[in-house]
Amino acid sequence: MVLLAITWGLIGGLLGLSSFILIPWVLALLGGVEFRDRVGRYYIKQMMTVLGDATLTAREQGGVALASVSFDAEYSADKVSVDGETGHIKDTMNLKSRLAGKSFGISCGPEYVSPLMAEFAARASDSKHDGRVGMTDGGARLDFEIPSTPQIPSLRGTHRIFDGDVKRRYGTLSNSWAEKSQEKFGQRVSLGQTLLLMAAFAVGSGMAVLAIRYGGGGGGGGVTVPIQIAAGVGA
Amino acid sequence: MNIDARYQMAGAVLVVLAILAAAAVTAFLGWGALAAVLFVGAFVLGAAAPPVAILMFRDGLPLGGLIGTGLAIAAQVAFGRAALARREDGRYEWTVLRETADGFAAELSTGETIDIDADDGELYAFGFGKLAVVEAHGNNVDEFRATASDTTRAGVPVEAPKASTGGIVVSLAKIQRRVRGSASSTLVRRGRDKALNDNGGTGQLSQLWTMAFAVVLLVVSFAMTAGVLML
Repeated sequence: MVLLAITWGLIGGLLGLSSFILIPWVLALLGGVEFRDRVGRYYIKQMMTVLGDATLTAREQGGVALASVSFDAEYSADKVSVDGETGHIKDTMNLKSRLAGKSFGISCGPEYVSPLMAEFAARASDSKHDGRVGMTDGGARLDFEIPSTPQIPSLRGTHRIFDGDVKRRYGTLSNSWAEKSQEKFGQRVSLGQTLLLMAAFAVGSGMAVLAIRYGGGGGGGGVTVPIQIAAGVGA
Repeated sequence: MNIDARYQMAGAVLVVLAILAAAAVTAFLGWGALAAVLFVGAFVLGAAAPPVAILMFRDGLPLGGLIGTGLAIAAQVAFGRAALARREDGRYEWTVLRETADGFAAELSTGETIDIDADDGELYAFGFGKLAVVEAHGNNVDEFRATASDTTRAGVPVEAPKASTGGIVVSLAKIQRRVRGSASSTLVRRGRDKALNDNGGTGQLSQLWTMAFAVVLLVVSFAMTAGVLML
């Protein structure tokens, strides 16, 4: 009987653990759109608590990926690994913000972006293509129109309004390539220095040999100088 | 929130509670009070364990990235279709995507609603659900608006925003001011500098130290050789 009661306890424990996911899902399924919103927001809050600092990044091949980030002081940028490849994201445009009270940003390549910037990129690109933006006979036309109702832009295309063309991994790639080049040529002690040290050892030994061999034996050796004392000079 | 929605939510909670109560009663009737108490106690402990662990360890939780992704998937499954919306003040909200007659909408915690002009095919597939990534068009667009009110700019006739679409005219010059310096080669240079600092340079031993070592070696070798020969 006790064994069966313990079995019920185990069942209760397993059900309890799985209820962290299952019960909210059932509630979301049965409770309508309001409950779906509440349950989803609860998980997002838990997600941001676990990740601490995160980014939703636009994949180069399309789609989006969620990743945690950490600040890398050596690059003055956030370090992130997406699909196993490490890179850095800077916040040049000051667009990183917060989600559920935690640091969060949307990123494209090496920069934090915003959906509005992605819309600008798409619309500006279209306008330029259509000849509505750019040099004209009378001057330069720099205005273009975006719809007042937000649209869902292609985050991947935001790089079209960036100033430069660096990608997220270029920093680490540069590091890796420079490191490899230094491994090949960057010896701590050069050949000349090594030869100099070997020569110093040889000279030291050679001097010792000469000193012992031609120095006249140990202790008090030296050159005998005859000294003549002229006695009675001038006598 | 309307009354129907409240009833629906209350009904969902009652259904879940009824299922759990039925399991506890089954344990009690079939296997006694101890089984029922153990079932309820273990259930409560099991249910409390994940949120307590998250609260305690926060971003120090082992396999945090994996768990975070799992929670994002759990959220997406609950939402079905979600919107990651950037508010006018710059903050993000991840909320349920509601269908409207003209497309979609995201209701924010501030009470505001962001209407979204999109169809289902434009949503991102993310975590067994669909995701719309949007930003409100309000005060946040003001800094990019074209300020000239005349009908020509730089001597070129400018078509006014269409009244039908109520478009917003923005200036590329103002956008350029914001994006200046983005995706620059700073990261590349930092990567190269880091490698050179950590591993770079031939003859990292300075000339002064080399000479000092040479003198030490000379004296040591002299002493060693002399010592050996005098034995």
